[in-house]
Amino acid sequence: MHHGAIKTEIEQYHNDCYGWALHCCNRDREMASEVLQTSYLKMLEAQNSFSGRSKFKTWAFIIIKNTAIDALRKKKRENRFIRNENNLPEAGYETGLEDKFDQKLKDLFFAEALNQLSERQREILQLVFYHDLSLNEAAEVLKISQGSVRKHYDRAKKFLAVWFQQRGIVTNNKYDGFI
Amino acid sequence: MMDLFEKKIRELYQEKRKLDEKSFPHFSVFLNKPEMKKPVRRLRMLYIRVASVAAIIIPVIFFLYYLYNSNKTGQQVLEISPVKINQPLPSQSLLNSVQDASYIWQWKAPTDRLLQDVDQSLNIRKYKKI
Repeated sequence: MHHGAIKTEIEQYHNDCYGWALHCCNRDREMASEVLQTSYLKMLEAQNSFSGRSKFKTWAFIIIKNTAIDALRKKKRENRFIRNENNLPEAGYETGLEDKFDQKLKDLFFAEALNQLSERQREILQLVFYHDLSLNEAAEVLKISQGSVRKHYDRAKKFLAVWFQQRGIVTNNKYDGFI
Repeated sequence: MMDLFEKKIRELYQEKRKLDEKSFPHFSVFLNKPEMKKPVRRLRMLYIRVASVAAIIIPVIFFLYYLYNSNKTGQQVLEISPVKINQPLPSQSLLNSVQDASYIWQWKAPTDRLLQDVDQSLNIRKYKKI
C-alpha cells in the first residue's frame, strides 16, 4: 500500500482510531492525542508491513494499542517519581470516565457497570459495540485466542445483565424491558 | 445475530461514541505537527546508548585480552617430541623396508644416559639465561 492510500485509510478511520486511543489511554485526552500522533507516524513508516490479510482498522488498532501500552508505562514511571516528590494522588480511571458521560448515561449506571468489569472485558466490549468489530477481529487486536475473547465477552454480558437486573433496570431474563 | 440485550448495550456505546466524536480533534490536526519527528529523536537516543555501551565494553575486552596474553609471555614454550628408547628411527625403518638399498643405517635412538645429559645441558642454559 503506497503512502497516499494509507493516508486516505487513516483519515477514513480517524474517529475510530481516536476513540480506541482514548480507551487505551484511560480516557486521558492529551495522552490519547500523543499516542495517536505517534501511531499515525508508525503506520506511515511501517506501511509495507500491512499485508492486507486483516482489515486496515484491525492493523491500526494493534499499533495504537502497543503505542498506548508504551505511553502508559512511561507515564507510570514519571508518576511514581512525581508522587515520591510531591505525594500527589494518582489519576484514576473513574474520574475521566464520569466526565465524558452525559447525565442520562450516568443515571443508568452504565459507567459504573462498566467499571465493575475487568480491563480485558471492557476492551472487548469497546471493540465490539463501540467500534463494531467482530469477536474474531477483537481477538486479533488484543492478541488473544478467539475462545478467550468469547469467554470474556459472555462473562461481561452475563455480569451486566445481572447487574442491571439487581438494580431493576432489566425486568426479566430476556432483557425485554431493558431501559 | 445480536440479541436484544446486546443491541441495547450497543445503543449505549453508540450514544457514548456520538458524544465523544463531538470533541474529537480533526484528522488534519494530527498531520504536519512538529512533534512528528519525536520518535526519530528517540531512535537517535537509542543509537547513542548503543554507542556508549560499546565504548565501555570494547576497552574492557581489550584490557582483559592484554592481561591474558601478558601472563602467557612468562611461560617457556618447549615442545619435545616423544622418542622411543632403543627403537629404530622412522628413517631407519624406511631404509629397512627397501630391499635394494645398499647402505644400511644402523643408527638407533639415543639411550637414557644420553637424554639425561641433554636435559642437564638444557637446564644449565636455562639458568644462564635467567
